[in-house]
Formats: sequence, C-alpha cells, structure tokens
Amino acid sequence: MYPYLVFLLLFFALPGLPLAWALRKDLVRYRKTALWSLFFVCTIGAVWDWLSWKTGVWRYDSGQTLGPWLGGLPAEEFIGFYLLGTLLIVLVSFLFLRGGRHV
Amino acid sequence: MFERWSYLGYTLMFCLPPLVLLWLRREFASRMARDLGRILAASLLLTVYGCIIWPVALKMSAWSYAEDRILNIKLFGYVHLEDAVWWLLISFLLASFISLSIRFEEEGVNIFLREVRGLLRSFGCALRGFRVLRLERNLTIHTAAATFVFLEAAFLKVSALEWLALLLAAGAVLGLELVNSTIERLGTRLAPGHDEEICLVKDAAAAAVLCASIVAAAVGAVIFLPRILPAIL
Repeated sequence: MYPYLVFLLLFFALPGLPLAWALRKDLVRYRKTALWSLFFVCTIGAVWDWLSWKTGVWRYDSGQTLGPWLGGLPAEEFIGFYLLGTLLIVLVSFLFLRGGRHV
Repeated sequence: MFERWSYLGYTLMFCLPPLVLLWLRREFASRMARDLGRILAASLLLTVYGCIIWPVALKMSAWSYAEDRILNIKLFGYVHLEDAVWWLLISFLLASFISLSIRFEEEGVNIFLREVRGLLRSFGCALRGFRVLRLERNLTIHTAAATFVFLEAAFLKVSALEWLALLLAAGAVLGLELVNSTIERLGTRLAPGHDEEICLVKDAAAAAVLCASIVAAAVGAVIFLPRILPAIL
C-alpha cells in the first residue's frame, strides 16, 4: 500500500518533524536559508530528477503511488522527497551548525 | 547518456558544479571553512542514514533502478555505490550552502539579492561596453564582415559544424578587437606622446586581432569557396 509514501513518512517525516519542533526557533530565524535550500532542490534538483527518470536511471511503479503525476514524477516525490527530504537535511545541518543554540 | 555510468554521471554533473561555485570563491570558502568540521559531521551522519534507508526503499519497491544504468557495485554488499555518493555529495552541498547562508544572514547581508544585483550590474556594464562598436573604425568593419558572413551562411544553409566554426572565428575576432580597442584607448590615455613600451603593447594587441582575422578568413574560405566557386566559374 503506497510503499513510497510509507517510506517517506517513516524515514523522513518521523525523524524530521520532532527535529523541526526542537529546532523551530532556528527554523524561524533562518527561514530564508531553509526556503532558499528548498528553492534550489525544487529547481535544479527537479531537473536532475526528471532527467534521471526520463533516461531510465530510476522508475516508479505507477500502481503503487498516490496517483497525481507531474512530468513523469509521482506526487510523493514533490511532497515527500523534495519537501520532507530537504527539511531533514536542513534540520540536521542546523543541528550541527547551530548546535541547537536557540532551543 | 552515460549508459552504466548514468546515475553516477548525473550525480557528479549536478553536484560538483555548485560545490565548485561555493568552495572556489574565497569570500564564501573562508566563511564555510570555519564550519568545515560541523559540515563534514552533518554530511557523514546524513550519508550513513541515507545508506541505511535507501536499500530499504528499494526493498519496499518505492522505486527501482535500471540494471544497465548503474554500476551494480554494492558497498558492504548492501548499498549501491551511487546511492552513497549521492547522499555524501547532496549532504555536503546543502550543509555547505546552509553554513554560508546562515553566516550571511547573521551579518545582515542578503547574499542572493547581492549576487543577483552584482550579476545584473556586470551584464549592464558589458552591454554598455558595446558602445565601443560605434566608436572604432576597425570594429565597425569587423561587425559588418561578421554580418555578411552570417547572412551568407544562412542563405547557403551551412551545416551545424560549419556554423560552429564560423561563430567561433567571428567571436574570436570581435572579442579580440574589443580588447584591442580597450588597450589602444588605455595606452593613448596613459602615454599621450610617443612611448616605445606602450607602442609595443598596442602593436601586439593589433597583431592578435590580425592573427584571429587571418584564421577567420581561412575558415570562411574553407566553408564558402567550394560552394561559391562552382557557381561563378
């Protein structure tokens, strides 16, 4: 049942959301940094993702995804991978770089 | 495009240029270097995490790889080499960027707006520089010649490679002519009278244009003469 969604929730959202709560002050203070990171992932990263899918490096099982597709990529890719994945990397970086100074 | 090297090729192609952009510039590198230990620690932690969860995703059939687009080398018999490289580079890239962006935010500098404004200003200056085109005789002659060559190439329907050769030749001539004009003006301003050294510099710059012009003429002859001569003779 939607293995990609389950994977993203389990491995990105589950550790990411508590971390986001713990580092919420850093996230608010450095929101521009977080938003720019998201912007670059959603632009350059999306081109890379699309190119890899188009040239057949990776593929998704259409029967096992939520449904909406955009340019050959499933909705999970945008919601989960780009948003939650980037958020997780941003938060872990905040944790190391800021040492939770604002927690 | 890269066959079995596709995954690794794309990963390097999309990660290394931004890393060069970030780490080559001293202004950026000096700020990020202060956080290098923390950047590396965050990257390593994320890479280890990614290397653990990615094979799980493959097992869950979240996505799959084409056998002929990956190297099929598994680290510790568990994770694909490309996945490990992907996580390492992405984590290092984003952590570097975040470190830099935080530093600038703390300094009250909007680095993106500053960079975009700087780039636009540079473009503006470069575009304004083209006004030399209307001031220098030789430049106007070369521009007219390039216009003639491009029109002729369009009418004669030359091949893509021939277009490439013509564009490179014309670009070299016009570019060098712009540099030559600059050196001429600078030399005249620095030494209004006769100065042997300045004279030598100006002559050398003019010789560079002549070199490029001779090569451009040869390129034009190779491309156009076989098409034009049979029609004339």
